[in-house]
Amino acid sequence: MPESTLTTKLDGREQIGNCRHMRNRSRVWLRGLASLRITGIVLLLLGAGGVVASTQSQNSQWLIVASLSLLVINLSAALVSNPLFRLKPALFGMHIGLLLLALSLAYGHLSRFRGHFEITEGQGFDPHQVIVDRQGLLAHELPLEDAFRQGEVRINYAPGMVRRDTNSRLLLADGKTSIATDGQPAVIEENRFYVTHNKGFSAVVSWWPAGGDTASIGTLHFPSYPRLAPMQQLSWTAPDGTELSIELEPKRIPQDENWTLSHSMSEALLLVTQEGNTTRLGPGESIRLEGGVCRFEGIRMWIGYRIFHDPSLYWCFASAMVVVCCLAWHMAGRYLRKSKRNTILADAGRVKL
Amino acid sequence: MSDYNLWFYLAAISYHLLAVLSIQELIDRCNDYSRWIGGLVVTGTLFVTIAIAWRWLSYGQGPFLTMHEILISSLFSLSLIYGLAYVFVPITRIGAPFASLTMLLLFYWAVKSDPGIRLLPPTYETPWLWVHVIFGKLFLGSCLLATSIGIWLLTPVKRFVRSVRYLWVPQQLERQVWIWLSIAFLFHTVMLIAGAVWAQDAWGRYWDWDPLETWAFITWLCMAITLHMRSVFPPGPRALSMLAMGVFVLAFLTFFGVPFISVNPHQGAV
Repeated sequence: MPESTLTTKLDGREQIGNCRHMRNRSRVWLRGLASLRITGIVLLLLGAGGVVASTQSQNSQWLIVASLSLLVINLSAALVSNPLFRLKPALFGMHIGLLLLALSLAYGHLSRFRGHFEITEGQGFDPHQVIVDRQGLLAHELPLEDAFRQGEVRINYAPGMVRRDTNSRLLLADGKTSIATDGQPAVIEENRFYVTHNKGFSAVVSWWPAGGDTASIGTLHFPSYPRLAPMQQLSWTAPDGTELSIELEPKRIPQDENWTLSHSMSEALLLVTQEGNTTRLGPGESIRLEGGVCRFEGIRMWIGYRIFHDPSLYWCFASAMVVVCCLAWHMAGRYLRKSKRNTILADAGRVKL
Repeated sequence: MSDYNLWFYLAAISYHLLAVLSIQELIDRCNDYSRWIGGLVVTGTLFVTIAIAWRWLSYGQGPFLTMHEILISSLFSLSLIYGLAYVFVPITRIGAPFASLTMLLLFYWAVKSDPGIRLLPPTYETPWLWVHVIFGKLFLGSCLLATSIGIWLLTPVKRFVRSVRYLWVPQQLERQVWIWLSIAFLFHTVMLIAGAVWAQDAWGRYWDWDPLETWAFITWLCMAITLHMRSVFPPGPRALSMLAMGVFVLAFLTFFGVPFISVNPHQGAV
């Protein structure tokens, strides 16, 4: 055999040996990553993340996302390397569901938007008024301005100031009406608008500048009602810099019968105090200040909303259902089949005796 | 005495007799008390059911909110689940002493708590509440069964036993503990999912790490770790018994301890 051929053959064997060695090494790595010991540690980490999250919400999210990422790696390695999953399809399905759930939760953390705002009856939605509570790196933009106009707000109460159902009507840009109630948010452009228990009266005022410039209109939100019923007053600085103290006179709350909170629960009357002088203003009446005229237009209700947007919501639910169904399937296969087998064995034993 | 109290105290008599008889059965070598014990579990469940039904009809709402309501509804569910297991799964009969003492504990706790009523918040008017609560009760019932069987794997407890009916093969007991723990894990998972769906609709967040959610999640993790341990470090009978008891204690504290640090079962969520 010529020398060159022999060398080539030897090189080929060496290469095959190297490939096997590499493959074995990668299998060892995969098995190491798929270890149930790592699973245990990751689950403990998740628990620690939960405990931290319940005490402080600021930095805990990263601990949870990191634990979820480790869980994804561990689960993926286990699904690839553990032969048990090929023998037990239900167990395989359950862990696929868990993997999807972990991925959905992690994506949800990155793409979630949470915020809150207050709006008055008749007012259009303004995204700039939204206070952001949490915004993920991949969170999308809020709906366009005037995506809806706030309609009538009515909150029913049982005797003893026990809040019952809240009904808030939203007039959408396309002319349709949506109602947000307790347990049923209004969904606009995939954003979910939830009514909160925070609500009260607001005074609609317009400002007419002395120079004859364009008038502007706005709302003044009084403290939450009826929680802060005795404190229905606020301080306001008019556009010309005049300090005003404004007070509202709500009607008496019925103590022994059901009642409904709406803007009609307040007297349509404002008590405006300027430098010790109090003026009573009815709807359409105005007060002259140094830089212009302030006119009281009427009383409305304001209500607080929470906005929530998470594109992973349905994925989370679907993957959680896959986990539950496959777990039930696995357990039924494991325990019901075994108990049948035991019964057969027991019967066989009896026949022999 | 109102009708509610009457039925409630009749149930208490059943549970006291149940506890006495199940302990008597431990130390009695000859007599079989299983029919009496089964009858007392069924009677106790029946009386508690009537008491809850009376309260429900009087106030027009189910027992979902206050500590007293959670305790009596759990007394009902544990009693019903244990009663069904007692009748249909004979091996669970050895758990009667532990189960009866747990029911007595719930009864005395319920007596001490304020039986007053609070109107259900509007967010509780959802079918998901039912799914969440029913699977929560099934979870606790399965945990009770696992623990009440598992306790006989502990050697110091076995010394008190004289009845031959308690001499099951440890492997059989171990298998039963695994089965009930696995079932509890399934029910707990469904409870968490139903709770998340409800919370999303009601309060705009499916998970907020409130004390109850955190402890429920820790309980779920403990069960997941316990079930995985079977493959990595198979625990011996004693360790398994301790783990089952640990999960039950954790679940018990989550159900009945956390509401102490919160006005509502879920803090701030009305």
